[in-house]
Amino acid sequence: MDDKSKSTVTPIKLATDHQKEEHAKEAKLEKRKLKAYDVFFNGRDQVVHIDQETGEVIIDGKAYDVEVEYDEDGYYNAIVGENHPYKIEYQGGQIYLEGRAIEFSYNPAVPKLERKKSTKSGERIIVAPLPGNVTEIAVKVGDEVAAGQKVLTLEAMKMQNDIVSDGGGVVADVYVKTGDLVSTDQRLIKIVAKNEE
Amino acid sequence: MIDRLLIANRGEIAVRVIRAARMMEMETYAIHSKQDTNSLHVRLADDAISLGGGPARDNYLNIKKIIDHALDQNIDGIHPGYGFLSESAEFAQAVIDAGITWVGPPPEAIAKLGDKLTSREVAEAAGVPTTPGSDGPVKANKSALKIAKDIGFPVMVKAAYGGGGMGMQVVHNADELLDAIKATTKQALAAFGRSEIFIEKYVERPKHIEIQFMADSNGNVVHLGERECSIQRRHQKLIEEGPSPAITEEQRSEIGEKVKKLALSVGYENAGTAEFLYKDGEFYFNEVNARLQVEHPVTEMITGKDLVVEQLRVASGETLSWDQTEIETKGHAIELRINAEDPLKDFAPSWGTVTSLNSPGGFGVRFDSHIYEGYQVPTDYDSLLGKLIIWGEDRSQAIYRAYYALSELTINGFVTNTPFHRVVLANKEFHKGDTTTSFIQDTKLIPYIREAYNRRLAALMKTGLRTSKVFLPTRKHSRWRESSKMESTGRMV
Repeated sequence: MDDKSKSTVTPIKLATDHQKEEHAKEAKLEKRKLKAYDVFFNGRDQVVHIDQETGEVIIDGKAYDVEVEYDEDGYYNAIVGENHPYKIEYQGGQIYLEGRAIEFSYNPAVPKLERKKSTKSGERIIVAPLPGNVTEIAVKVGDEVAAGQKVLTLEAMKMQNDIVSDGGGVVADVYVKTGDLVSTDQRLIKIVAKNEE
Repeated sequence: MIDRLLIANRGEIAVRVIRAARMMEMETYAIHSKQDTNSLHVRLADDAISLGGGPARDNYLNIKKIIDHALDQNIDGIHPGYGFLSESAEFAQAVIDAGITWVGPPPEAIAKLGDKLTSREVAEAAGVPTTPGSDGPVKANKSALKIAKDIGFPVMVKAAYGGGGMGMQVVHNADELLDAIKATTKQALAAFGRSEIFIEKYVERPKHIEIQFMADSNGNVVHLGERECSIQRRHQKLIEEGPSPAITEEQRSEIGEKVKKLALSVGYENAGTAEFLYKDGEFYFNEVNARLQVEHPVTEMITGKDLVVEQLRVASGETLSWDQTEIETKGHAIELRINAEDPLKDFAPSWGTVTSLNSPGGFGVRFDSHIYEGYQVPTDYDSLLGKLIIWGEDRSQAIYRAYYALSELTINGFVTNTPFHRVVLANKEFHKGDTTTSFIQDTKLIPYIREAYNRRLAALMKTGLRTSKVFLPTRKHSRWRESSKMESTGRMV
């Protein structure tokens, strides 16, 4: 792209320039007064914090400073950091971001009750995150597994998806076998924390 | 000419074939799985029949069921699309044996080209530059070690009958070779039912360049220039463009003529693509895709030729509509594959119902897709939602137009890979045409996608807090969410 041909700053030129920039800095979160929100944005659920003193938005441990200007007729201009403006519109009950309809909602986070699928403490059940076909089981009963270790492979949407253990322990039960078709939230593997832990 | 065409496929390509068949005044006949009952191709076709539920082998891959239905419905032509049975010599033969016109290459040509070892021999014989490698299958022994040393490390250990990025492994030194051959042999046997393995030179950071060609049953063949498909993840293409910024007119014509020779030498008919790795002015033959490809619209946009219409014509025995001098390329085209995948989660598949859809328009903008508002993405098939294809007078204009067209594309209901495309289209290296198959890893784009996402989220959050709108607790797939939407929007979504 020839940057010299025009001096106007177009969205694509801005986007190109942004790729040279430093990313937002990791924020020191201790000593901050934070309020948590459960947020849903275009298919993703996540927790976002607001610093009650500075007003900064904390996402993934990074702090974003946002200046919101109300234009008129439901138009807002939100400027993130120094030079990242976003046009946001509330119209007819629908939210638009940069002219595109989006799905966005939030509400104050309620302290989460641990949603364990098992009754006994120290037990964790790994469930299928999406429907698919079990193509490989990487562990057997009695195997010790570490957090993040692959326990089985689930083929869904023509892709091999590694299913990993979210914690360490010993495999206590394998509920499926290779070739099984499983549905979302179906139990796959039970892992029990080791006694000395 | 074919009167009743059966489309043995689904998704956007089934829709694409139906559109071409209509142009040829053919009746269209869709087949579908139970999961695809509400798919667009079923609705668009003149007639459709369910082949039942279950895995693809019970419907889209079930040769007997398809042929039985075709005979029952007086079908006189079958188009296989891409994927599924499109490169099955067995299916092609079954179609021909049933007295039905096969819209694709002859089964003998599919068989020859589908085998990586014989296709290599065919390519060499036609003077197509191949990758230095073993002359035939190798076993995990000393002679394999010698072959690898002669080629020079790194080498690629490859399953002869593999595909889709599976059954290959890069080996950097002699110590790893024998284990890699054993592992790949085992993998190949499990995945493809054939265990033959061969070794070839591993070309590091190449471009992926492919030549489109088209042949008729009267011995005519033309090439339609190249497409570059370097932007890939796990060997799956994400962005394709044509012409490649790296290829000169002389190179195009030289490699194109060789590919034509290759096609003639196997008695090829219909559309095909010869795939190459390309580095420092050298082409390395990879394989021939003996079928229509996902990215064929790139070539259509720059040549102005409807490849699917031409497929239907030549399958019916007609002579190619154009000779080589009539193939001229104009401008530049880019195709973005829009997938139900999350670039922030290593492109893991997502799924759900399309809650809102707005596809971009304007001069030079084309969106080939099978999705619509209310469409539920099944988890049984690949994650392709559609292809956004952009034409520009030159590459720079095509990139700009693609960026703005993409910024109009709205698909809500689940995560898609559109933020990935937006970041690539704004990337300096991409602008320069410095693209290789390692582009995603080398440019470290993913953190920018996350950063851009976080900024938008922060903007929405602060603006949301400013608006005093009431939001009820949201819970996925529940009445709570529905009622919360009602609360904030005033109507049911």
